[in-house]
Amino acid sequence: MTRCTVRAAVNAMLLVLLATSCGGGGGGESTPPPGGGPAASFAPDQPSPGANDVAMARGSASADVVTVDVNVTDTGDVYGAAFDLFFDSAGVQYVNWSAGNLLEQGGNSPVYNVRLDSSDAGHLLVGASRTGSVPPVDVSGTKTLVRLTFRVKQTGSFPLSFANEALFDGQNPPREISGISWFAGSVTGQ
Amino acid sequence: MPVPRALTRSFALLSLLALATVARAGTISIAWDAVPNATGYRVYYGTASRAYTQVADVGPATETTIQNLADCTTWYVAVKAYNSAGESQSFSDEVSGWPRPAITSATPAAAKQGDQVAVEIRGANFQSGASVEIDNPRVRLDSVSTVACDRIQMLMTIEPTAANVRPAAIGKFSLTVVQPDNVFGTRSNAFEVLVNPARFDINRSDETTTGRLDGKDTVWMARLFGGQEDGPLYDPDADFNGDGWVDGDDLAHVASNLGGCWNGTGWSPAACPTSLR
Repeated sequence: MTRCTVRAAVNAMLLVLLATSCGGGGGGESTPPPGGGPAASFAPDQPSPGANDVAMARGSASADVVTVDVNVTDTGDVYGAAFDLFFDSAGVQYVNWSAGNLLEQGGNSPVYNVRLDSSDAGHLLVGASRTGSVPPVDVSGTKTLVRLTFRVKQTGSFPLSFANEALFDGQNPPREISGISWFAGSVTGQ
Repeated sequence: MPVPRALTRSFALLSLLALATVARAGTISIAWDAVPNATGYRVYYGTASRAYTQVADVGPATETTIQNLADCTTWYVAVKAYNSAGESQSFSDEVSGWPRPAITSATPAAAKQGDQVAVEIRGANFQSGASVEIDNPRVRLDSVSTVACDRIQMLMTIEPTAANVRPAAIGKFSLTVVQPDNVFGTRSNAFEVLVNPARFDINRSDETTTGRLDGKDTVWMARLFGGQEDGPLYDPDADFNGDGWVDGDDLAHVASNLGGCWNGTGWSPAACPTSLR
């Protein structure tokens, strides 16, 4: 095994290790939690995203847990994305994340860096990117950047809000893509 | 009986034995040419030229290390050969010198990338004019001064001291003191280069999040991922551990501090301004 091969193998393991947790996907209506607590759902701010939109959409939901897809629609030269996500931690708890299908195109092994602010349970930091000198992705239609799973803790509507959000192109160094609109939504407990 | 010729002090032999630290633990390694018909050799040594006070029979070996010599003292050594007919009448050529330099400590024993730091080496048998080497090519020794036979002071610069400069590799490295006569003593793991966490904030795409490690730093690091020294993708500013690669080890530094803001010594979410919280 050459040094490069060894290094590549080690890096592949590290990329996996950087992923703090993964969750499953799937669809369907949420089912009430057995204990009679709130059933989770998600209401997007932009149900019909267009070109150059990053918009949240409801993924699967089960009992008090809902997965939110962060989708990109008809956008060129996407290499990576970064954003903060704020929410009311009294009503919503971040559970985990899982990879989407956007950054993996062409066989690339993207890196996902998703972490809850250690001093604020209502603040999630997300970085997701292709790796190395590979071409960016031209998104045709809607692709999922990352999936985030939340647990609703009480009844009500709890908005998620983006901050410091950016899509990046594949330049070196990466440049923020201008003209992108970001839409979040609200996790609801019923 | 002919005398041994080409008696030399051996510079590279038995360097581990040179790590002894107490005052009378000095060593001198010597080697000589074999003498025809000799069955053994005796090594004579003392602190005055041609006035040897001690002798060691080393048998048929043609090299040896004399131990337990007084430190910081010039020792004179010569050899005689012997066989069943007796010992050679005269000595070999004489060699002289201090025992091999021995390093016991470096203080401070660690510094981080980008630092310029004064380091004191303690040990024994450091001669005036001795030089110091470290097996890290990105650590520069700006000055070295022997202030006593048990103390060397030096000024050390650890790259990178500017942007776009290949950093010193992190880890523990050997220090070697080399006498003016090229006899040297080495101590392994004597000095540690630490990663400089201030380097982790690599993203410059905006001013709002500069000073915080976040997803934008992740994207910038990911773009440089796989870059190897001398390759077109390599960016030394992203090679945090200085191993010549921008790889998972470097990205892990950003990941493990994600959400932190610089507080002067490290990355902490508590140091973030309210605009980022």
